[in-house]
Amino acid sequence: MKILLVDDTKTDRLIMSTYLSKMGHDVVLAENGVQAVSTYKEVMPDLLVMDVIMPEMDGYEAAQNIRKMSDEWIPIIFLSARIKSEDIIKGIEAGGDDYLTKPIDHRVLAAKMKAMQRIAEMRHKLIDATSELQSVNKELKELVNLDGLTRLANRRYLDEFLKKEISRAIRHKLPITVILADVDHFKTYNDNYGHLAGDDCLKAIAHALKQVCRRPTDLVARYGGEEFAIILPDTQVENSMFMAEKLRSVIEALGVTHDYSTTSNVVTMSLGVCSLVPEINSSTEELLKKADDALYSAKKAGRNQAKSAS
Amino acid sequence: MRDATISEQTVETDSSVDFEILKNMRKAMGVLFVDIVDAFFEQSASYLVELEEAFSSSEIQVMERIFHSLASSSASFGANKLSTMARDLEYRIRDSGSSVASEEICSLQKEYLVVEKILKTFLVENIQ
Repeated sequence: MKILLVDDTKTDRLIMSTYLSKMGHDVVLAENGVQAVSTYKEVMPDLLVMDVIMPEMDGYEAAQNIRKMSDEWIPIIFLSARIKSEDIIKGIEAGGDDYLTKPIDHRVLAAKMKAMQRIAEMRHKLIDATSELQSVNKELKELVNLDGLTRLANRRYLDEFLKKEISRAIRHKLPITVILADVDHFKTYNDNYGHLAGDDCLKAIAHALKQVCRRPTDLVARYGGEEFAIILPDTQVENSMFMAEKLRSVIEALGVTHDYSTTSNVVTMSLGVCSLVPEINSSTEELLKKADDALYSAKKAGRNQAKSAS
Repeated sequence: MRDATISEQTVETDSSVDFEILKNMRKAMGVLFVDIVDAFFEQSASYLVELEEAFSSSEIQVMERIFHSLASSSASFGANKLSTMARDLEYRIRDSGSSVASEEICSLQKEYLVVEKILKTFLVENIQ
């Protein structure tokens, strides 16, 4: 363990540090409470062994300062020649965990160090486990909202996001655009090129769509199989068609060969656009339905095109 | 062999030093024991000088601190009588805020010399 040993009496410091070093610990020394506080910050020890009565700042005050200063808990052992009940209470209240009587019996010291070592190890394990848990939690939180294949937002997140954005648009009387985009003849693509190629195609499309919708407020989500939803808050009706066309052309420009498409020799997309200033009773379902109807029209009109909801 | 020699110590009856503590420490410290005792001599000597200075300038806080350190370090070497004397003086200053008499400092110095002599003898007899 890295131990910070604080004692104003040179001989005591020497005795204690010799004992501790012989036990295999790494000892850092301080001569008083003020030094203890500043050295603590520098070395971040696993354990603090500190005399109670010292000039300038006594052990109790130093312990209080250290506890206040750091969120991390490390054991503090007080050293004292006289230990009365009130000293123990005062020590614990100041943030101490144990007492060692002076003069130090090296066997007692060795036993206490063993106990403290156990605590330090448990504390390290706990810190590791906590940080692992935090990162797993963070990952989980992201996963809950993400589509595993495309790393786009998933349907769950889309519904939440759209609901919020509609409310915001209603409150500020702002337009909102919902685009539903469906890959043309994707079933035949999958059937002929295989599911792995199908997955790669969807990933490439997801990436391309995200490149077009670069405002931090825009959202591209995977709506279902080969269907994507794009939400563009605060986007005027006329701009929405421009954006939809851009999305369409970007997918076509990817140039993913699709020899089994009856629309083109590359992968293409049909898009349905619903752009409006929502009313007080507008819902996510309503906007998605309008976009879906427009998508149906685009499909019916020959695919590889964008249609606006009437 | 050496431990047997220690247990046969004849000066154990001397009330100034508890040889059990001393022997235990020697055993635990090994070769470093001599250095630690030397450090104790060196520090105690400078404490005694500081103590006289503090006494003549009536700096009772400084005296209290010196008594505290002396009490603590001498106890580590089993010098219980010296430790108790220093501790009593320390507490008296802390509790009453009054100074100590020059005779008391004299007694403390004398006791230190006794301890020093015992420790030196111990070193000669036990560390070759």
